[in-house]
Amino acid sequence: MTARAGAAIRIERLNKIYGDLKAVDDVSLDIAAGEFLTLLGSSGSGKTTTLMIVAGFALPDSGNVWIGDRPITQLPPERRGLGVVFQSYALFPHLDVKENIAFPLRMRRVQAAEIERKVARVLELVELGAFRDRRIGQLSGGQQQRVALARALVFEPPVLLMDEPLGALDRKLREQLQVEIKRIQRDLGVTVIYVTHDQEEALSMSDRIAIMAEGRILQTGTPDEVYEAPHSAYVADFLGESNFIRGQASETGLLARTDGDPRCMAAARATVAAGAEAVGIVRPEAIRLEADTRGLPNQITGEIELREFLGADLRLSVLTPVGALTVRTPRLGQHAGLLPGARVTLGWSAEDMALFPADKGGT
Amino acid sequence: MLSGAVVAVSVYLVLPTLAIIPISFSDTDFIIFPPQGFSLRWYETFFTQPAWRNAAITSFIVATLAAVLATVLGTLAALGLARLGQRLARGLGALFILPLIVPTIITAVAFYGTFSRLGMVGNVPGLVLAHTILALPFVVINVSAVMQKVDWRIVDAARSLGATPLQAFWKVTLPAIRPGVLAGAVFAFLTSFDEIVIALFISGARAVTLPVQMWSGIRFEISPVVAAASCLLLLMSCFMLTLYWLLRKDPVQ
Repeated sequence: MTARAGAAIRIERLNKIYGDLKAVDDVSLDIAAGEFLTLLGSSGSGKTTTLMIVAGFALPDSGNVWIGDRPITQLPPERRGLGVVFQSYALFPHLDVKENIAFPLRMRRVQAAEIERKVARVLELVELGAFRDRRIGQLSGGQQQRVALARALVFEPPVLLMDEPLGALDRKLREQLQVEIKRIQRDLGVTVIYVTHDQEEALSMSDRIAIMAEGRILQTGTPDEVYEAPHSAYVADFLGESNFIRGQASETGLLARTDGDPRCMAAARATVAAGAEAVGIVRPEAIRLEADTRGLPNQITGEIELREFLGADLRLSVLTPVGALTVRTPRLGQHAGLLPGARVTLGWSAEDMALFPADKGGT
Repeated sequence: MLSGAVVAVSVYLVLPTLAIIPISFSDTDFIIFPPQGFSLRWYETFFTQPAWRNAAITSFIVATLAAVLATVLGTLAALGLARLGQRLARGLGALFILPLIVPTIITAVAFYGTFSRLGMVGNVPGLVLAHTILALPFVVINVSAVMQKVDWRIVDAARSLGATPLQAFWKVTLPAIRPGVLAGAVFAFLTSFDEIVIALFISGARAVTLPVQMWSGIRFEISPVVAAASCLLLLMSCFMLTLYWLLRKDPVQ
């Protein structure tokens, strides 16, 4: 398949209301040509509805969508020319692999010889050359999703829309296909909008992630940005694991609530006025143990309650005066020998704790 | 124990039907059991006597037209039902089953009253319209059942791949529900082909169907030609079911 540039997508102030539910609430996004953008959110966050509006299966109540400089908001799906991949694969059960993939070409009245050539090439791209004449029912889930991908790519669309494409597959296969989708996307230069509720998938595949909840985009940024600097407690909680320490904002950080006197903690990033109820957020891998805590402004001791083996890491749950804190430490590191019942010192830097208003959701 | 019951019920189901076969080959002028002699004379009578031959042709025409009409209408109705809201679909779905529940004799009397005023007693269109109504539930039920198993994202997929709504219907929706449509068509055909109650009321003297002809045959002649006709009817049913199996299996596997 020839390399070709994807098209930029502009989504402007989309709104969609179902009954009294705002499924999509004032969503705007600018996606660059060739970019891999993920809409990440739990079910009911509006990510799929947004994608369906771009695909043309749902009409927005207001707002516009452009592909390049072409407005497509009012076009029926068949005139948008976008590739769509569904979670359920949506392959045509009465057609074999070859005819499924040839379908968009037949709709475009492409010559038979040209169809043969293009189908062969895209089958090679998804590594399914040997399955050309198979029935859909004879394929595994992973193979079916490759056929669906081939079918959505064979007519060389400038944009590929993917709705939880790996949601029905087991973990191993999912990771394998993530790599493959990423490779194909980079080779072809196609612009991708990818919908998922799986944060690891979003973090590993995307150029940029837009995190959605209740129909709105909460934050957009590269995986590093949204993970390192979440704009809200909700985003911090949704992306990766987080420790939540509750209390009151002070001039320099947080007065963390305990059973006795509040503990003073230093935090770098604060969006809360001093005196207000606040929650401090620390990532489990940012918490140091024992001797490593020397010199850190935030220190606290507690008792190990639980020790979970995660493979590369160990996860310790430590009961402290400010609540149970989760700590991740490498399995091959010097703290691997810590066992439940032991008392440990935990510590983290001011930069590793962010403060958010306490009322903004979170656990 | 249970397998014994299966055998017993099977025999009970099939035996009366099988008894017809030897009778149809008998050599006597009346139906006698056990049958005596062997001849094909009653089959010959069936195919040479205009009354029998015409009845068979009428039945065939009526059943074909009723099946086509019921299949088209029933398929469209099933597709439409799926697009309605849950509650409305359930209510209307019950309405489509009505012809199966209402005693046929009531339907027959209703048709007779209406059609006699419209001049539609004793002709093929009247029979076709009446049989279409009887056959509709079979199509709606079969198509709806198949539709439950289809992933309707395939229609969205077809649209995204460049198919207009009409193309998506012909290339994707119809092939997906094809087994249900075929089953519905076969049942619709057979429903009309062996229907007698309504036919007795409205076939009159000029549009006699095979079951009506058999009914008068048994009442006025008691000749084994009725048995021969029964066997042919049985053959027809077997043929239709075989056809259905063949058509259904071929495309997808």
